[in-house]
Amino acid sequence: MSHIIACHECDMLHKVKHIERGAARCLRCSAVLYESKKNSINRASALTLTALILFIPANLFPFLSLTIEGQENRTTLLTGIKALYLQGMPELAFLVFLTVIAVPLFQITGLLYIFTALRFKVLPSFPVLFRYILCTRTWGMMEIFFLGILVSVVKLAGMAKIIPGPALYSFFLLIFAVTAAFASIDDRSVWERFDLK
Amino acid sequence: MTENEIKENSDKVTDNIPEPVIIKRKGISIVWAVPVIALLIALWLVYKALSGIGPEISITFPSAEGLEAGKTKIKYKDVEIGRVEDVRLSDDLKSVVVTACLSKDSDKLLREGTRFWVVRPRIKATGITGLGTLLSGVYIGIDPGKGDVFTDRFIALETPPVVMSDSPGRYFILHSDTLGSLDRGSPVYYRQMKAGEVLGFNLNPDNSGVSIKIFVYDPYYKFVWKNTKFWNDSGIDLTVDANGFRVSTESFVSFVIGGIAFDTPVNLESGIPVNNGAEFLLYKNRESAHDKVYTDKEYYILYFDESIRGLTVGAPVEFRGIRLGQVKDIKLMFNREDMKVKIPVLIEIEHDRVSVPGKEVGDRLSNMEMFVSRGLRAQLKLGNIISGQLFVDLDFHPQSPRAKINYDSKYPELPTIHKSMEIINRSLLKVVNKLQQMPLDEIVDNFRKTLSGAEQLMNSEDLRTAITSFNEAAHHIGEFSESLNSDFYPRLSNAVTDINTFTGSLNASSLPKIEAAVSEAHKTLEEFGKIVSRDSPLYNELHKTLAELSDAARSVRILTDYLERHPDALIHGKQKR
Amino acid sequence: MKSLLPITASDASMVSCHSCSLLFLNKGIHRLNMANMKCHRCGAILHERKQNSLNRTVALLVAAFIFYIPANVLPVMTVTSFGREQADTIMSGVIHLVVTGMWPPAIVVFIASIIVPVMKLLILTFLVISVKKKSNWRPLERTYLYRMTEISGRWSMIDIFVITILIALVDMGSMATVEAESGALFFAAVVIITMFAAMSFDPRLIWDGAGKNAEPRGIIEENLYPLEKE
Repeated sequence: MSHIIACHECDMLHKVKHIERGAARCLRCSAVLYESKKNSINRASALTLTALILFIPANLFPFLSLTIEGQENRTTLLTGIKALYLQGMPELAFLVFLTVIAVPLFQITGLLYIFTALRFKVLPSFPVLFRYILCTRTWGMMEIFFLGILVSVVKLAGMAKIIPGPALYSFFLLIFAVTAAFASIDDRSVWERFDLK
Repeated sequence: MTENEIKENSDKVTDNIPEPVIIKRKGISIVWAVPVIALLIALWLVYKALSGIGPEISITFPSAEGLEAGKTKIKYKDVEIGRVEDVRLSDDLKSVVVTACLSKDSDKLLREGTRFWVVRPRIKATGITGLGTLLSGVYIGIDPGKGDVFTDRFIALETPPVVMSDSPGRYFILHSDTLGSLDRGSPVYYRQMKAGEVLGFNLNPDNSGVSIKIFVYDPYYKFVWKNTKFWNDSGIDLTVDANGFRVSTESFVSFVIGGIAFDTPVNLESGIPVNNGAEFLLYKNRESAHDKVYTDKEYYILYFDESIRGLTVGAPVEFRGIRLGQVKDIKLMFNREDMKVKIPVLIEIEHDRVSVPGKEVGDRLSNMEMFVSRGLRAQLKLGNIISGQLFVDLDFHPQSPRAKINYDSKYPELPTIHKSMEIINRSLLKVVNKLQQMPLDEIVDNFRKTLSGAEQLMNSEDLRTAITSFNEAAHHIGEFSESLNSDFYPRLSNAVTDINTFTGSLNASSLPKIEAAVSEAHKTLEEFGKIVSRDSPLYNELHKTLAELSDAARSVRILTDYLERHPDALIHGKQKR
Repeated sequence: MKSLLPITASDASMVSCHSCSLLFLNKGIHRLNMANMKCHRCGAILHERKQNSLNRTVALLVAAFIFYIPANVLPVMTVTSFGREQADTIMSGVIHLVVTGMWPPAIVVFIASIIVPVMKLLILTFLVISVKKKSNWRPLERTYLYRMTEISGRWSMIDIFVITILIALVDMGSMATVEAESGALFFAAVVIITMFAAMSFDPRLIWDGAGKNAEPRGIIEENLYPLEKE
């Protein structure tokens, strides 16, 4: 086990010092080197489980319904992607599908697998999985999608009546659960467990 | 550096590796930025939605035609201020209660007297309104009232108000016997310019006619004075008189749907300005409005216990020689208890004939009471000495015993006084004077002369010769009749036999033909006679046709009236109510 | 005895796995020959510095600059209401929000759709040029700029998501429809390409170029995995 760590952003070497709580930052560029998180595995596994449960209603149910002149239209996550595809924008449809459904689902299920395994003191069989989850982090854009929903609501508020659907609330909770799950990951301690192998 | 040197340096390098900065409290990670912003926007939206919610009101409509929950808007001056949230039946199932949510700052519109109505396409003779709602669907219009009390419950109008409460002008009440062809929205003209509109009308509660509410626009209401005359300008005015034909109408619109015109005649009555809601009479046409026909009448009853011989219905009621009205009815009343006979006389007084200057005109009855207390009494007076015609004279008799108006009967009772002997004496004196002035001597002289002339005629020679000539003539007539008997009769019998033979020669078939022809001719003549006569079938037929024609015209009018009120009947048919 | 210069991993002939931060000892393998060497722990490809970082970043930046023009000029969506068409560009969407007084979302969208892409392009260009020039001007602040670029890049996707939601939601036949236009495609391309450009840029080059990282000075005898060709 190494007790030296190199900064990601400026390559400076630091000695690893055990910390109870908080974050270790690079002396030179103040990038976060490592963090120590309490109860990380328990929290992360609980939060990812919550996220997975919320993911189902968020995707199945309509998150908004629009009423213009008595005509009602509901939309789920998938109808938007389908509409983009049908309007001759398969690239955009794919991008939205990737960032809002595929990547988050992969991250949630992957994290759930890793942390449940760690919780039961079993070493996950694919360390690659954890790496992928970490490096696709910026590509899961559910929270930005939620912002997009809010902006759409604002844009349409003048011309139509908008009723939030059940998915909207699940979505809202989901982005909090996912953000909290990622925030509770102590990646260094996870990697160290792989070191024990 | 050689490899050895590096190795030597290694220890130093290891010593040189520092420890990282340890931050105890990391604070909120940047990953939370997006969810936090999302939360803030969501909260802002909720705040915006909540702060945008205005008052909730309920409006009662007679029917929910075209109203849809969540769709129908409420607009003030074409600006959306709310939306219908719920449409349901009222508890008594007689009307529809619409619940609507208004925008936040619309509370000030919700005063007592605020009117709501449904704006939908309406076709009237004066124009088509609400065409835009064909596409967008109906909406609810609002006209804010001016009351001080705020409320959230309203009863909607069945039809849109003709005049908004904020349009400048004044409204007046017109009284008329019949409505004529007037309707809501019928125009009011001043010098053939459109100056106002009919707001509505209703039957007077006592069934004494109709009251019509009109609205006169801003500059025009200043030309309405107390003595302004309003007349019904419905349709076309066709006059035939010594000057020939005359056709007059205010405008094509009034020709079709009727209208009201007003003008102020130049006369003694002063130009007193009037307030909102002043009442006027609606005359039947321009002529009757400008003639001094007083249709504003008040009725009073007078009780006389003396003989009213000479007083007839229609006899004038006068005050110091000025006609104020007339006698309307006379009856005899017999009281069983005191065995007394009273004669009630109903008179009408045309108040417009009396002008009461001053600002505060006051109530007519109270004026009358004041007059009575000052000694106003009704009295029978002799109008014509020869015919013995009586009239009712009203005048002040300050010496007479105090009396008051008695309101016991249907009409107010004015106190009366007896035909005074002084007056009779004075009248008799006049008669004697007249008799004295007559040339009695001459009349007697002429009479005598006439008698002597007649005597001379009787005794004259001419008369005698005339009588003898007459005798001769009678004799000649006797001779003539004798010669008739001797000569003419045999010839006549010959002729008769000739005719008999002629008729015998006529065969049996030809005779009936002639008979038929004769009777035919007879009939024709008779028919012709009937045509000319007043009670002939042709006359009756013509009369009937005319009557039917006028019936048809009336039903067309009823139909157009109905369509006007329910234009949708064209599509849905007549609704059963 | 302490040196004034900080010691970096490459100074000590070490390579840090940039996924799991495991350090490897490089025993004389040149930077350019380091391909195909994988981290023992996480399987990530090891490299002392990101492969071909500057060239890749420049190429992606050029592409992003080219796409940036149609992304802002072409309409991103068309709203058709009762036969009346209204094309919206990124900018007009923001203006519409401002005009209707929806300030908080307007600010968010303005930052995400206008400021972030422009800043990203400019910052990355600036970083690439400064690294090429081996500038030693404020490496710390430049690192901060880079960190900001990396984090904020995804925000620009908000407009793409708004379009997705609107076209799904406003599908009322003749009454109102929203259609995505080619501008959205270009805009999405700009966002994605700049995200890749930020990913391919190696911030360590800032410090290398600033001359803060010295030549190899020694080997730390730690319990390190040696870097070996597999």
